[in-house]
Amino acid sequence: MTTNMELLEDVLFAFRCKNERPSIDAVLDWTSRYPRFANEIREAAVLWAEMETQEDLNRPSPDDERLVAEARSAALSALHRASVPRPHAAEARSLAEAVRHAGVTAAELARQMSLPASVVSQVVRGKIMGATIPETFTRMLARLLGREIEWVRGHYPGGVIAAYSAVSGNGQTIGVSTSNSAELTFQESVMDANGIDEAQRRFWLEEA
Amino acid sequence: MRNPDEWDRILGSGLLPSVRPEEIFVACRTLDRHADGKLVGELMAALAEIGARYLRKRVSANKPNGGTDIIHATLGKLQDAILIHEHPDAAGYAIGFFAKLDLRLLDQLRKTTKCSSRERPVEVDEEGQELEFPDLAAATPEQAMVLDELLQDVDPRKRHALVLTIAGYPAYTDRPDGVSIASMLGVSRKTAETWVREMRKLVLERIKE
Repeated sequence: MTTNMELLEDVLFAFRCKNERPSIDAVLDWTSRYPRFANEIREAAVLWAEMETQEDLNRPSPDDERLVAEARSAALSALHRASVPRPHAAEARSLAEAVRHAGVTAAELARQMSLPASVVSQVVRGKIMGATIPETFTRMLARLLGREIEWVRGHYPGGVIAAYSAVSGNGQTIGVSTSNSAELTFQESVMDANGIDEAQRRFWLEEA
Repeated sequence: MRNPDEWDRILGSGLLPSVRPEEIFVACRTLDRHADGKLVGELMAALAEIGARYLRKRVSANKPNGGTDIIHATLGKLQDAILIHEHPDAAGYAIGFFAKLDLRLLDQLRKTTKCSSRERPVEVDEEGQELEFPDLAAATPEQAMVLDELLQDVDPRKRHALVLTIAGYPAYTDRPDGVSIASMLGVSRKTAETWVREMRKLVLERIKE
């Protein structure tokens, strides 16, 4: 994976791991390395500085032990609940369903990819022609949804699996991943999006 | 990788505190939950305790519900990363347990910061600026308590201006690539300077009381 293909999560995790403190130098270094995540890096540094200040202020309290006991018992309940089988992830028939199964929203996916939510939402709703979607986007989306890259690509409008599902679906429309609903190119969607900054736009139009 | 018998021995002899949380996390994910359910439960509870103690220090007790909602929500994400087969956070917890936990805490702080701004305007004079800033870690428990209340009471942006001051950021810098409170918070030089001055004044007042 090249550095340009990293997700926001990877960048913030590395930023947190490689620096002892949210120092000025750390922010300078990381925002210049990842200009398209500059706002998120600054925000993370601010909240991180808040945690560090809080560590200086917080003093042990008798209530802490109750919190610990609750945390232990919540962990055991989570383990217990997990023994009840869940619907298998592979059952999703469209991107929209895969997004629901992954328990995320288009807005959260968009944040991770440093894209406006409108672009991600248009891809998920099958409004964007599959052939125009950059490989980088597909890889990121696959990782965020816990799917194979081929599976994601196959569910874009014009994709092989989407076309097949549309025919075999008992006359029922399956999701919206049918080739005739796609009207936009990925690039048009990025150009039209509000709230995208120059570094993000350049990345998605020129580098991705 | 330790086998279940070794983990039992570690738990039995009270040696778990000497094991890195990253290793406990990996064990929780890889041990057989059916064959060794009791052991996995003990390790998950131990990891939740480590996480809860760490987060307790980093979250204000003046957040809603004593900060415990934020802590439990953050730990809930940790449980997901243990229990969901292909969870995107799993690799991170196995490499840097506390770093990953900080990122999930950050998500929660980001949410609460947006919906809790109680502004209380303050008269500012120019003199507060030059005074020495106190070392918070050395504050008495009473002072720490008042300061914590103050931090949670002001507009979150002013709180951020203060924590950045403590972290060594200047209110403003002339350098074109410069990082300052103004650039971090996306505000003008004048606003950043006013906030810093106001917060310093408040802190010094409260500490004196």
